Amino acid sequence: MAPPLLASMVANRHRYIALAATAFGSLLLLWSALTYGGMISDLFLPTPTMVARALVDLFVGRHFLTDVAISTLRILGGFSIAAALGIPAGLLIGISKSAEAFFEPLFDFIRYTPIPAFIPLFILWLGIGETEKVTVIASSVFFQIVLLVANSVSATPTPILESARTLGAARWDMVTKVVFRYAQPRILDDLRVSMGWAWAVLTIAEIVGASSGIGFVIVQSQRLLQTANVIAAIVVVGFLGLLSDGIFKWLRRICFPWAGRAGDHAGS
Amino acid sequence: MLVLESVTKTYDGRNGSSAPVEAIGGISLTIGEGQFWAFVGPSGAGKTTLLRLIAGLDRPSGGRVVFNGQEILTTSWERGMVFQDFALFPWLTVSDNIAFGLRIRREREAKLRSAVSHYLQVTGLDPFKDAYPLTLSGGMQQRVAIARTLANAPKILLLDEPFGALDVQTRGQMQELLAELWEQERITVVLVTHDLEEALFLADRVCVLSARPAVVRQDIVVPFGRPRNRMLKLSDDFFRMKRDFARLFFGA
Repeated sequence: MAPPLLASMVANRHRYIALAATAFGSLLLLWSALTYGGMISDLFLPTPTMVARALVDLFVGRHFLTDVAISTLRILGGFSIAAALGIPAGLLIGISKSAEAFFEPLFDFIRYTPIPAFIPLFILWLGIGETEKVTVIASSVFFQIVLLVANSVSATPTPILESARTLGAARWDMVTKVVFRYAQPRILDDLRVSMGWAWAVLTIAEIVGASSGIGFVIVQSQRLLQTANVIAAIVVVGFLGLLSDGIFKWLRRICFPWAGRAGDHAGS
Repeated sequence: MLVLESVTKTYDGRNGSSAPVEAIGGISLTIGEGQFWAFVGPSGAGKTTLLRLIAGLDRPSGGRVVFNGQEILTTSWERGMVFQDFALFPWLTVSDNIAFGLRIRREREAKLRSAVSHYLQVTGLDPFKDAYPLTLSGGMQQRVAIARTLANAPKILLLDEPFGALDVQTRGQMQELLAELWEQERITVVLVTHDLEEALFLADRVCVLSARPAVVRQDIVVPFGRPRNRMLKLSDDFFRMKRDFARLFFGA
């Protein structure tokens, strides 16, 4: 690669980091301005200092790490099941018109129903244990993944499909060696996007009915009017989200070096 | 031997309400084994449609396309096609792109490897064999596309405006490379182009197609010998031929 391009990529990277830091800084500044001056009561919105102290207190004094670990494991369990079932289902819908006609409208319907509204039902059926948490995540994320993957799979450019056919690819080769291969980086992006959904649903499930996990800590703190703890816990979820996002982007670079960065799709 | 028997092709209107489009209006011809044919005609004249029928990507509305005694019903590795926009597999390296056809046809590894290295050599792609296609220039990408199709040892090579997306200089180089490759392999080639000079330089038979619906307006035997190189384009004979053709082409 030519040096000027490389240089501009490095410059872009610095610029990216600088802009991201500015955005976070601005939010912190706004928050500080609203709280340190006493414009908003600590009960409604505590100061950054109080939240930082709450964060330390949660981890040191209240074994918050255990709750974080429990929530993360629930996410991993539910998300893995959703991905393991959702990717093949999405692939099927993406390649077969009949499968699309059979499943897509139904799945669209289910996807638009408010999954959190099903949580009371799941509790009725499964209790408030781990099975219920994992089921809530798996069932809500599954429908997201299926439709995103189906969309990614059907985006394979026609010339690529046709050139594979004229090289002698049979139907099964087309699916496994062309369509799926071309869609892989997009599917990874689909998983990354669905991860945010998983955290949202889990937090609701833990708020509605749980005896551990980050959502449980949030609702408990709210009942005790420990607003700083609520915000500290939310901040932790945000950081876990950023972390998983970073892992997915890193995986994409490692596994699919041909595809460029997330967002700019190769060959389209 | 490839035979077209009164082939027609009509496409349905875009959204059901608009009129059907007649792309090909009755073409009959026979392309013998080892011949290099070119079809020229104005854009949108159904040239690509003709190639797609031979490839088996589309079926004719009337008539038959027959290859070695068998009617063409679908695609086959025997009829390899090079597309205008290259259509390479971006997830495979240059050598894996070239190996694709032989690999899915479960060719022996030794034969596969020797075919790949041969075509890497003759197309000058050896230094780029481990690169991903999208990191290459257009000319290099089209070399990969040609090598990928030839390595698969098809019985007919179908070329759809293969150099249309390239700049003039690269196009000239690629034409020479193709002439050279063909002189070594002598497989049946059907080239579709809107570039008269390209058709005369590469082919032994040139068919001029009319605008939609396409019919063969003129079928000419190109008298130039082999091997051909870029000097041919500067010869008086070539100029004369091109001028006669251009008159026909533009209806002057």
